[in-house]
Amino acid sequence: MVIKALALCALMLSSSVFASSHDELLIERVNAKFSYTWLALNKTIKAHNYKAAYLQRCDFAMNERHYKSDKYRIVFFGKYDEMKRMSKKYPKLSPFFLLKITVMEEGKHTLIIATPPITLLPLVNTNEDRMTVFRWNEDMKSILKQVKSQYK
Amino acid sequence: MAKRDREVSPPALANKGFLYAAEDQIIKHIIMKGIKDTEMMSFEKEFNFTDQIADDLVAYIRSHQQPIDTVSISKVEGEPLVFVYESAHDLGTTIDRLRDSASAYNFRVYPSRTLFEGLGELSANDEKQVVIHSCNFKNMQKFLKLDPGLGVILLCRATVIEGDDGKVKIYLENYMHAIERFNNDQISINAKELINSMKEMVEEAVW
Repeated sequence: MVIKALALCALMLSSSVFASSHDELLIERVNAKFSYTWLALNKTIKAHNYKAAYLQRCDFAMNERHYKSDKYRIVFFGKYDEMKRMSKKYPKLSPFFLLKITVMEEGKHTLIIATPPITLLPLVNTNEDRMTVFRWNEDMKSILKQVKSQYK
Repeated sequence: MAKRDREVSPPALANKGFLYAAEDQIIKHIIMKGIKDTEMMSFEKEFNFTDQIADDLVAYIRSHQQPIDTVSISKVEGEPLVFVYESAHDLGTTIDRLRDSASAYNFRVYPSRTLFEGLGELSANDEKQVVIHSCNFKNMQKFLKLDPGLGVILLCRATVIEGDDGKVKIYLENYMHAIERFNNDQISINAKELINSMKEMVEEAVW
C-alpha cells in the first residue's frame, strides 16, 4: 500500500510540479492566424478563472515608426484579491504583475509566449505562497497548451 | 467557453531547475498537502502519510536529483531578480520625472496604468501603484530579429509604488534572468545594455 502510494505520489509530483522547467520559456506555436489565436486565448484565460485585464498593442507603435513587424500584443490577466494580497506582502513581485502572455503573429502561425511564473519562487517565503506561485505556473502552462490544442 | 482541461507534460521528476530552487520543506509540503485545483492530491489526507514517510520520499527524490548546470546559472549568479530604488519625491513627481527621463533616453512612454487596472473595482490605495511601460523601438527591433521569443520581455517597464509609510519606490525587473533562457551571448550583451539604460533612467528620476 505504502509503496503504491509512494509511486503514485512520485508520478503526480512529476506531472504537477516538476513538469515546468525552471529555466525555459513557455512557448507554443499555434496553427492559426493571430485573430483566431487571440480569441481562443481570451476565452481560455477566462476558463481558468482569471480576468483578462487589458492588452497592450506593441505593433501599432512599431509600424508607426516604419519598422517592419508582425502583429505583436501582450495580454495582461490576473485575479484581483490574490494579486493584491501577494503584492502587498511581497512588493518585489509587483514588476511581474499582472501575469502576461505575449502574442506574435509569424506567417500563418502565431507564437504565444510567457515567462514561467515559477521563476518568482525566490521572492516568496511561505509554503502557502509558494503553492500560489506553483498554481500560476500550472495555469500558465495549461492556458498555452489549451490554446494550441484548439488549432491542431 | 473553452473547457478547462489541464494538459500534463511528460513526467520530469529530475527537473534540475525546480529541484535546485525548491527547499525540502516545499516538496514535503506539496506531498502532504497537495496542490489546490490540480491533480496533485494531499497524501496526508488520502493515504495517511506521516511526516516520516514524506521525509523518506523527499530523500528519495533528492537522491535522483541531477546536479544543476553551473554554467547556466553563473551568468546571473548574485544578480537580484528585481532592482529597487527609493525616490526622493512624492508619487506624482516621481512618475513625471520617470516619464521625462525615459523620453530623454529615447524611449517612447505609454500611458500609465495602475497595477491592477482592468481587474475590477479598484480601491483608493490601488492608485498608488502605477506601471509605466516604455519602449525603445530600435532596441525592440534588434531584439526581435535575434529571437521573436524576446517579445516576452518587451515592453520595458517600471513599477512605481507608494507604500503605507509614504515612501515611493520604483521596482525594475532584472531582465538578465529572463534573457538567460535564450542562451545567446549577443542577446545577453544587448539586454545588459538595455537594463543599464533603464537603471540610469530610474536613477535620474529618483534623485
